[in-house]
Amino acid sequence: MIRSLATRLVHSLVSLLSVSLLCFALLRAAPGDYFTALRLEPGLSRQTLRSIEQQADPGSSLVRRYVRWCGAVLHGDFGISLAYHMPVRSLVMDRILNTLLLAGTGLFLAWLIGLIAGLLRGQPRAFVQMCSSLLWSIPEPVLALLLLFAALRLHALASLRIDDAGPVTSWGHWRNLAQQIALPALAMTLSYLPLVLRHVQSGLEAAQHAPAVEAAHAHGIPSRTLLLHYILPETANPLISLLGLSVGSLLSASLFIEVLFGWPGLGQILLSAILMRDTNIVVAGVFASATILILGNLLSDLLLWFHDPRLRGAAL
Amino acid sequence: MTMLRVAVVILAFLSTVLVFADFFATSDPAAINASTPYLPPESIRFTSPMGHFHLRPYLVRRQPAPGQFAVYSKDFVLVPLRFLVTTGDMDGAHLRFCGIDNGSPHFLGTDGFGRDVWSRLVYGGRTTLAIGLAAASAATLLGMIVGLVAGSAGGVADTLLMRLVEVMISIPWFYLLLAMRALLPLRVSPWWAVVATTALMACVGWARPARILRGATLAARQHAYVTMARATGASLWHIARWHTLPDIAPQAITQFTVLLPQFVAGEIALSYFGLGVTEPLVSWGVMLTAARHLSTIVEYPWLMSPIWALIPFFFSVHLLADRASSRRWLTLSVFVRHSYKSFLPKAQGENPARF
Repeated sequence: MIRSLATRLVHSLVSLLSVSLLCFALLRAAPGDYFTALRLEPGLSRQTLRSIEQQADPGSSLVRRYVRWCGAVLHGDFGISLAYHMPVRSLVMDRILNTLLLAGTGLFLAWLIGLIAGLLRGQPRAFVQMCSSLLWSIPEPVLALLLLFAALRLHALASLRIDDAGPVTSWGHWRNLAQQIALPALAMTLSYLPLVLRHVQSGLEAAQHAPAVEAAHAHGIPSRTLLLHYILPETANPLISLLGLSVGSLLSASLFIEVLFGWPGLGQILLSAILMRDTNIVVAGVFASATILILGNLLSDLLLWFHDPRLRGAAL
Repeated sequence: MTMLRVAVVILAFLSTVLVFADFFATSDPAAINASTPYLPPESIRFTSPMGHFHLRPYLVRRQPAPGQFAVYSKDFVLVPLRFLVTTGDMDGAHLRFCGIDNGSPHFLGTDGFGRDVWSRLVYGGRTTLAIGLAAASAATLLGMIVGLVAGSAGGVADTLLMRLVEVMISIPWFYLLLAMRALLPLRVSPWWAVVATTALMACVGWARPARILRGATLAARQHAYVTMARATGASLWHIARWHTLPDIAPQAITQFTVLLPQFVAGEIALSYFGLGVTEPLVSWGVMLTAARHLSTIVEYPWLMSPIWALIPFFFSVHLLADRASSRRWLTLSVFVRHSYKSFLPKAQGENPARF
């Protein structure tokens, strides 16, 4: 029982380790680092340049470097951002939280709306179906641009106004946050909703014809109990798997949305780091996103494990 | 079924316009006209300047207000539209489906350099869809080869390949795409940018099809005819080529239809960030970079016109993908099977195990 969980955990760790190898390879392979631009600077002498380079990277063998890098990463140390002259960790940490906040809000809203809308029957269902297929055919970048356009037309863009938010405990801070997150979170929700809705609908449809549900129905169990205690648990397994599988696409969508709406998340700093050739931040960003994805998968596995006792024996 | 027909018509229309872009565009997409920046879309009327009804459409042309930037006069002149005209551009003479006597019509207005948005839309779509198609084909092909090899060979090759696939999958694809882009120089020549964008997306996108097609390969190898072929001593390559490949081809097509819209959106996002296709060339992503300035979106909304081409395109592709993956609609996969069959020598095609 515990063993399948442990297998899962080891699996995640191995994935993380492989990602770290890839990230390290990325770090090594990147041409024209931050120093390329510095070398062209006429005001810097050779000596100063060399001392900066030495400070950033004292040379040693590749394997040793990788081991040292891994050790540093385990402490959350991704080196120093050469463009911001700050530890990467302090730059990226807040960004990760912001991305998680945005993705989490989008995820929560999409699942909430998706579950409620998926339960609809009759006329409203046809309407939902139409809206969903319309949303499904708008690519994420276009959806974000359309929302931005609508917001500008309605003068509803809060992120343009930068007012003093006040301390975290104050009411104004939270109102400000809500104002700023509203549009990007809406974009995230709308881009993720059709996927959720399709799976909820098809899952519910399949669950209604499951033997357990039909038997319960034949026993005359009232429809509310039937829904809550028979149909929904029956639907849950594929939906939980979807939750884990969609973390990647959620993060990818959030990247563009963050940049477009100026939400200070991981995607935004990753992009600016790429434009500034700040490889340390790029690697930290990629590693962080992979970690979130792997953790998301692990979480959905855990949920499955808790929800369905049948799966506990099987090697997940 | 009617929706499917709509989707097919949309795709056919789009591909016709984009393939014959030289014909359907009204001017050179790069032709700069400094006198008419941000010209709003010009409408068409069926009345002559005298006020009579005419079958020949007239273009409503407004002149720029003197001394002001991007301001156009309220009053207009009606210019007769001519069909099937030949225009001389920088790159030679082109037959266009319509035009006017002096200059060219701007059905969707012009951008900040006075370039015709309609023509840019047509030529840009060609670039975007070419990148999307090429990248999706390459990724599917790569995924198919990897999946086929891993599924057929098994053992160490399988383990290694699937490990690699898992690493690729455990990074969000757009993050991985940007990270791979960081390996290339920031500024590359325009044509190299197109090639690089295509290659990068193919490099990032092959992992998921590979995993799914490996599963399909394993399933396909369960068939009795494969066992029979193995018993008669058919080689691994023979089984993969003549038994497994035709079996997994429909799934490969489904993967392709999933990747295509993803890569088109990817091109747009990359170009919007300035990391994909770059300026002298035109693509839908390049056109949408106009939206980087918020004021542009509000004041000159016609610059966002690629949106109105993208939505029908995505709608049709998604619909086709849905139908291709469900069992109800197998025309495409049946077509593929037939095309395979036609390649087969008769003896092999009819009786693969050669009893």
